[in-house]
Amino acid sequence: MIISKNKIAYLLALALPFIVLGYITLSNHHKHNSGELWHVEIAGYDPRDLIHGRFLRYRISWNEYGNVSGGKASTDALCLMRSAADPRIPTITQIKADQTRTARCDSLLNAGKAKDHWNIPLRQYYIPEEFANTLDWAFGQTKNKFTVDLRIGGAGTLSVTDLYINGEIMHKAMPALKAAYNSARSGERNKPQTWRLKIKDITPYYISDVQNCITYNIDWAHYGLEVAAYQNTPDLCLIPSPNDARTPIISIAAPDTNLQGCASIAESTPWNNNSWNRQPKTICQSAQLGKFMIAQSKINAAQFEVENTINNMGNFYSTELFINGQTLKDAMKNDAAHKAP
Amino acid sequence: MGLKRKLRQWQSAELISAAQTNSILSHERQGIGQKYFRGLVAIALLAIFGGAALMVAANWAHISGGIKLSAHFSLNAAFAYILWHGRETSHYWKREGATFILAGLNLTLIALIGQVFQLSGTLESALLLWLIITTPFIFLFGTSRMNAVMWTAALIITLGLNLYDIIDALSIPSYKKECLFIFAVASIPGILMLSGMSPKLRALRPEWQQSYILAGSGLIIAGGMFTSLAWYTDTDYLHNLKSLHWFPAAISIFWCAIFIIMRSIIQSQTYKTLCLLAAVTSLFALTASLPFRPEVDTMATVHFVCFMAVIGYFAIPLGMHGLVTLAVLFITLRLFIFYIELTGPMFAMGFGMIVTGVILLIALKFALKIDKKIKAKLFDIGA
Repeated sequence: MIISKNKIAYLLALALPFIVLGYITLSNHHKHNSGELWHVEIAGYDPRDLIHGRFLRYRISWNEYGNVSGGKASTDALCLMRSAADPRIPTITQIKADQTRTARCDSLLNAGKAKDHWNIPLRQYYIPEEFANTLDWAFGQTKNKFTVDLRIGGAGTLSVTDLYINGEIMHKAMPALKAAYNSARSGERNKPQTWRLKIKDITPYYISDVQNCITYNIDWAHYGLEVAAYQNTPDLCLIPSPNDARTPIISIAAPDTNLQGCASIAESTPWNNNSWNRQPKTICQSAQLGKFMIAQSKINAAQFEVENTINNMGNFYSTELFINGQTLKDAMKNDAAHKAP
Repeated sequence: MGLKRKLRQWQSAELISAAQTNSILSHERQGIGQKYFRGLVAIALLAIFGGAALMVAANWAHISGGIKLSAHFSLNAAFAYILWHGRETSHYWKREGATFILAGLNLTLIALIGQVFQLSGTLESALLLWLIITTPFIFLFGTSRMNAVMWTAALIITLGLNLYDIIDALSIPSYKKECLFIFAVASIPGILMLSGMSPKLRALRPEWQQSYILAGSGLIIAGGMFTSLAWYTDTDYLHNLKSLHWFPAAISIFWCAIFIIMRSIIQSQTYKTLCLLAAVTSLFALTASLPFRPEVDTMATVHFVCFMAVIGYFAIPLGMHGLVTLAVLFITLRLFIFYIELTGPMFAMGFGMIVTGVILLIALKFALKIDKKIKAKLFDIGA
C-alpha cells in the first residue's frame, strides 16, 4: 500500500500531540518511580493565600535539615545525606556549583530556573476541591505537620510525589482531619464571640478629609499577661467575668490545658504570624466621627476600649471603639450636646 | 420577534413580495419537525454527557492518576479517529468539530498531566506547549472560521502571556530586554495583518486569512488608542532605555515605512487602505514616543480624538459603517473622561454626579445624531 506524502504530513500532524504528551507522561512516570526517595517538611508559601484555585501553595522547609539560604538567583547546589535515625530524612549541606563533582552525597540537587530545581521557592500541589477548606484550616493549626515525598534523579532535579499530613498520606489523613475541622467549626466554644478589651498606645495613624485612623495595642497587662512584643505567643483562653459577661478573664491556654471551659480561644497561628501581640491594630472612621476619634485620642484621661470578635478560626476582629464606656457615636453626640450653648 | 411578524414588516416595507413571504413560511414549516427532533436528540446527548461528567467529577479525588490519564488519552484517540474519518469522508462538520474538540482536549490533557505529576506548571507554559503541539493539525485539518478564530485568539493570548518571560530569560541588559519587548509587542499586529494579506494563505485557508486580517487590524486600532496613554507619562520612561531612548520612535518609523512599502506592492484596494490605516497609526504612535515631545497631559485626549477621527475616516473606503459608530462613541466617551479629569473633585459630590450624568446623556444623544448624519452623508443610509 502506498501512502501519499500529503497523507503522511496529515498523520504526523495528528500524531504530534500524542507523541509529545505521551513522552511527557512516561518521563514523569519514570521520575516518580525512580531516583532516591526523600521525605521533607513543607510550610505555607503565604498563609493568607494558601489555597490558590485548586493548588496548595507551599515552600519546602530546607532549613529544617541544614543551613540553607538563597532563592531564585542562587547557583549553589544542595548535598543530601541520609540521616542515621531515619534514612528517608536528609541532612543537607549547601555547596558551590563547582564542588558538585567532588562532593560525596546520597543525592544532589542543582539550582536553576525551573520548578524541578531546589531554589524555586513557590511550589504548588494540586488538591481536590473538596479538601480545600479542611487543608486551609489544618495548615493554620501549628500542631499539624505537612510533609512531601521527593524523588531525586541523577539529573539533580526533584519531583514531588505524595503529600502527607501528620505522617499519613493525604487521602488517608483527610477523613480524620475533616472530622476535626467540622467539630472545630460547630463546637460551642468556637462560635464567634464578642469581648470588650482595654486598649493602650492609641496613636493617630492616618488623617485625611475623608478618613481618619488610629492604631492601638490591646492592654494585655490589664488582664495579667506579660508578653514581649514580636515574640511568638501561646493560645489564649477567654471566659466571661462574673460582673460583666462582655469583659473577659483571660488565661494562657497551655497545650495540656482542658479547653472545654473556655468560651473563646484566641489562637496564635501562621495567619497572625504566630502571635496575637505582634502588630498594632487599626480602627478607621470616616468624616466627623473620624475627626472626633483623632481629637479624643490626644486626651490622656480618656479611657479606650474595643469590642473584639474572636471567630471560629481563633482570630481577632475589631468591631467597635468605646471611649469612657460609650460608643464613639454616643460619645460624639454627648460631646456636642455638652458644648452646645 | 417572530418570523411571521418580521416577514410582514419586510413585506410592508416593500423589501420582499407576498409570494416570497409565503415561500419562506412554507420552507420554514417543512423544517419544524426536524428541528424539534434535533432538539430532543441534543437534550438526550446532553443528559448522557452531563451525567457522565457529574459522575467523574464526584469521584475525581478517588480516581487514580493512571486511570484518569488513560481515559483522557483514549478520548483524545477517539476524537483523532473521528477527525481522520471526517477528512477521509470529506464530512465538513465532522472534521471541523473534531479538530476544535481535539484541540481543547489536548489542553485539558496537558492540565491533567500537570495535576497527576504535580508539575507546578503555569497557565502560560501550558498554553505555549499546547500551541506548539496542536498548531500543525489545527492548520492542516481546520479550515472553518471557528478553528481559525480559536487558533488566532490562542496565539495572541499565548504570546501576551509568554512574551515577557521569553525575553526575560535572555542574557542581555534589562534596558535592551525592554526595547526587545516593545519591539515584539509592536510587531505582533503588523505581522498578523501582513500574513493575512498573503495570496498563498488566501488560496489555502481563506478563513484563516480573514481571521489574521481582523485580529491584526483590531490590534492595530487598539494599539493606536493605547499609545495615547503615553502622553500621561513624562519622557523619563524613555530615558530608562538609556542609549536606546530613541528606539520606540524608531519602531514606529520602521512599521510606518513597512506599511507604506506594502501599500505600493499590494494590488487589493481594501488591503491598500488597511496598510495606510496601519501606517497612520504608526505615525500617531511616533508622536507619543518622541523623546523631545512636550509633556502635556491634555495631549492624551487630543491624540485619542484625532486618532479615532482618522479611524472614522477610514470607514469610508473600507465600507464599514460600524467603524463610524465606534469612532463617534469612543470620541464622545474620551471627551467625557476629559471632562471628569478636569472636574474630578466635583464628581465626588451629589450635585456634581447629577450634572455629570446629565452631561453624559446629552453627549450620547449628540453623538447618536452625529453618527446618523455622518452615515447618511457618507453611506446614504439611516438618515
